[in-house]
Amino acid sequence: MIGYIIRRALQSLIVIIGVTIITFILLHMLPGNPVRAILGPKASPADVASLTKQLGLNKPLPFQYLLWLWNLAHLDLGYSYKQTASVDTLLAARLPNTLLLVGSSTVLAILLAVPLGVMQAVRRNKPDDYTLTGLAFIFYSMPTFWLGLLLIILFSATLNWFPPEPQASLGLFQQLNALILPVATLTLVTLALFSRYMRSSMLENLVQDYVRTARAKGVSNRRVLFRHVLRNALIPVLTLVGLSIPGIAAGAVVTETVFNFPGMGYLFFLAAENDDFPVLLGVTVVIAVATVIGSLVADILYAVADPRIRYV
Amino acid sequence: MRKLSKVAVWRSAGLATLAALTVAGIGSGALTASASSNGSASKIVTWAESPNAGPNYISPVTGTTYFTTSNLSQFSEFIYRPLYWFGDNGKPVLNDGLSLAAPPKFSNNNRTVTINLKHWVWSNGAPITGRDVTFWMNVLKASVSPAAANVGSASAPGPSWGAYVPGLFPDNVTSYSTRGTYTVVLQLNASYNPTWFTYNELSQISPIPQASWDKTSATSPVGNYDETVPGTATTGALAVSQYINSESQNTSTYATNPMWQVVDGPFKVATYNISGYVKMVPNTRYSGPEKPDVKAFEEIPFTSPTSEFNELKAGALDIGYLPQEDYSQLKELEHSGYTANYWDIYSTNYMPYDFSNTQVGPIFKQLYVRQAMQSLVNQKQIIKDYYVGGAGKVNNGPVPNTPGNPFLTKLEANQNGVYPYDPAKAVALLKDHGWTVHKGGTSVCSKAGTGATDCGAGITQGEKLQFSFLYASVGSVFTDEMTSLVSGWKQQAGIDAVVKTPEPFGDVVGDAYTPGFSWQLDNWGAGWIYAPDYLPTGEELWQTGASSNTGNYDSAEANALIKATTTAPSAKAEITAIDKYENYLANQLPVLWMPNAPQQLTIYNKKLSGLVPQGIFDELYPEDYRLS
Repeated sequence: MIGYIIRRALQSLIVIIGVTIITFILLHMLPGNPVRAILGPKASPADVASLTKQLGLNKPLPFQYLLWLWNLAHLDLGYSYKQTASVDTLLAARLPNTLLLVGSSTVLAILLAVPLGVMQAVRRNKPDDYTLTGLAFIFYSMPTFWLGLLLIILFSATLNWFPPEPQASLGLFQQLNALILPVATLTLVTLALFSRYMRSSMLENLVQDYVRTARAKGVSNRRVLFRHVLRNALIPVLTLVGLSIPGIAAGAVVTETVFNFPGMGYLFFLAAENDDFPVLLGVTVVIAVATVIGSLVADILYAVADPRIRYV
Repeated sequence: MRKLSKVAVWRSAGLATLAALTVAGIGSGALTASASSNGSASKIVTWAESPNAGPNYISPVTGTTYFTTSNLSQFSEFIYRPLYWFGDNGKPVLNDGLSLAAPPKFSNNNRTVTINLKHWVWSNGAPITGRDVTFWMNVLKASVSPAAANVGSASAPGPSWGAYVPGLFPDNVTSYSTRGTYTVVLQLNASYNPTWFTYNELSQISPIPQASWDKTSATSPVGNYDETVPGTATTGALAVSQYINSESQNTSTYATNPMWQVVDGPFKVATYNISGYVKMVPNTRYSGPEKPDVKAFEEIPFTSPTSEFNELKAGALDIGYLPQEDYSQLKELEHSGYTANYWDIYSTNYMPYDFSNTQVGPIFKQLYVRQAMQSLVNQKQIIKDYYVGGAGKVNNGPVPNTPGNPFLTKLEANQNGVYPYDPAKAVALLKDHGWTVHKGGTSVCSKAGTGATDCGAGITQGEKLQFSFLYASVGSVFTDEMTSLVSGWKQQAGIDAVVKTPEPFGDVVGDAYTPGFSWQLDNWGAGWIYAPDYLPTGEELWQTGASSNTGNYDSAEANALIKATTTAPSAKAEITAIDKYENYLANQLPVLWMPNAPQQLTIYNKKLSGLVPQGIFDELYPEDYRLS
């Protein structure tokens, strides 16, 4: 297993470098001039030429990329002129917010999806199964911004239970009640997806021979469900968890926009609007790393859940 | 002009369009007071920033990258007052009461300017002296010197001055010196009109505390380093400028760096965070006539107009704005304890033509073509259909028509338009000059030549009346407006504007200002705000070679008229000169004039006084705010 992890780590490095190369090339193919975006429209040609030279943007593209990679190796992600801060400062400010928002909603969704999926599988085709299935389809097909706005209208504007968004003057941990609506928004959508997978997986396993054998041997229904079926049914859900990790790092730009939430998704969106290449590349690296980690975590969890799977 | 960091009118996000449908008919939220104590002095006033427009530069020596209203008139000018303040009770005039000096005195055939400072003080008790003004001048001179272009690095841009126009201020000041403690004398390189020089040149000066900032690094002692101009990256005025610039880029220290605690404005920074949130508290030593009477003034950042509107609905903002798509909610907000006021800005809205474009430049250079296009702009309908609450004014030329001002001629003020909407006239103009008009298609030149009834110089036989059109992606309402305009040109006169993929506001502006960048007709959606060039003369906009003459408009007559506005010998002659200049441009159409709209529909707490009239140069007056 250790050898497998090391090999995967090396492969991941190659994947990350590949992603950054593609992103780098695509960014430089976009219309717009990042130096003009930095200096503003009134900058003189001399100013533009000078900053272009300072930033190395007059060098060949491969050289620029290698320079960026060299700085990355020294943990220097560059500087955002538009936001007057280094990229790592911006990431350090936003990433924890996103981990809190998307991470907590993902965890909540999993914690709720598993029992819901089990219940729905056991009580399939009963009224409660139909009700929950209907709700799952509603929430899954509902645009996130729409759901967010509905929650704001109901719980904030009408009932005055929760604030519509966090206050910029306070840290997030000082106003946890401001997280309830954005977390609820993301949780409901994610829960809909996860619960459907869980239900489907449970149903698949409930008809397997080993379940019939266990029942024939006199094992209680409860033990069959939770000792035997659940573990096998969790395997595809674990894969989903692993594949959700990149999303946790990437943030949720729509939700962040609706709830005025200072997260990674919105940072990326803002950087794209402003031709802020250092930030775009920095966020890409974070997401790429999260993706490969997520994929590796999914594989490891898979092996933990299913003892037949062994990586060498 | 300060780069427009927020779009004047179109604050919609496409996603939020549906929100209007769901938000209709909901219950009203209660407006919560910022604090429950009696008296304004215990209250905090909260103000909504435009999305992504939080301040990120504090020094008044503001470089091109940071030269925006969100940094200047909505942030640093509360902290570091300009020498001369413009905007008085909603009028675009010099405000003697808020200025740090008495009105300047011109002598020696208007080549000598004497500035007498009022005896105001910095927040540490030190007087604001002439030395602080010459310190500013030295730092400014260094910041615009050729040497400044080589300062700075990949980590941070070097110093510069966002309002710099080569040949104008400070280049047109040959020398300056103090006379006594509170007097500064400037010698100019020519005789300038005093009004013009005060409004457009002296307006750029912001005294800075020489006794605290004259250093070349954080650890160096204070000295007179600035007196070596321009200096180098490590010595003299340039080193001082770079020190101020680099400290200004260290945004996390705005509330803690002692440098930023020495202020002369009504407020100073108490809290700042990277999201753009700023909390400012009163400077108890502010010398100005109106002292702040609130506990604090907070600028709140928002990711979108939707999130800002949600805060209004929750009653959690004292001053916000109503997005275009939520206009139907105005009554609900008024029932919730808010009231509304349009924020008119002293600006002119237009789209530039690229006269230097090799392909379509010859077409745009024909006055009759510009007249035809202007006659196809139904400004009144645009205002009615696309502007918040139908508020706006027909715009005919370079001088803003809101608010009323002494420089506005009858011609420009005409709300029927100098070129009223008249598609028949547009078609007639084209036909009379040799075009075969294909309504719904593309008109073509059927009579090449330079005669009175020919298409004009540089236009070939069979050439199509077609050009590319780039506009900013600033919201669905603006997109609808542009789509309607383009459709009208084509359907009514066969003027074929080929729309390019809309780009972000900054890119469209940048494209327009990039020499050699190929564009033909461009619309960033907001025109030009007259600040800090407060007098609406055209030396920056339409003089040949001017830095903001993005379309390369070139007219000897316009140049002469503009020059007359900068050199008129008296105030009365100045008004005459401006009248002639503006009437000429209203008739000559160097750009396609578009309606002027209010910056926004401001929504504010009914218990708040001191907000109205709102600053016409996009500035705020938080020292006037009182919350009952």
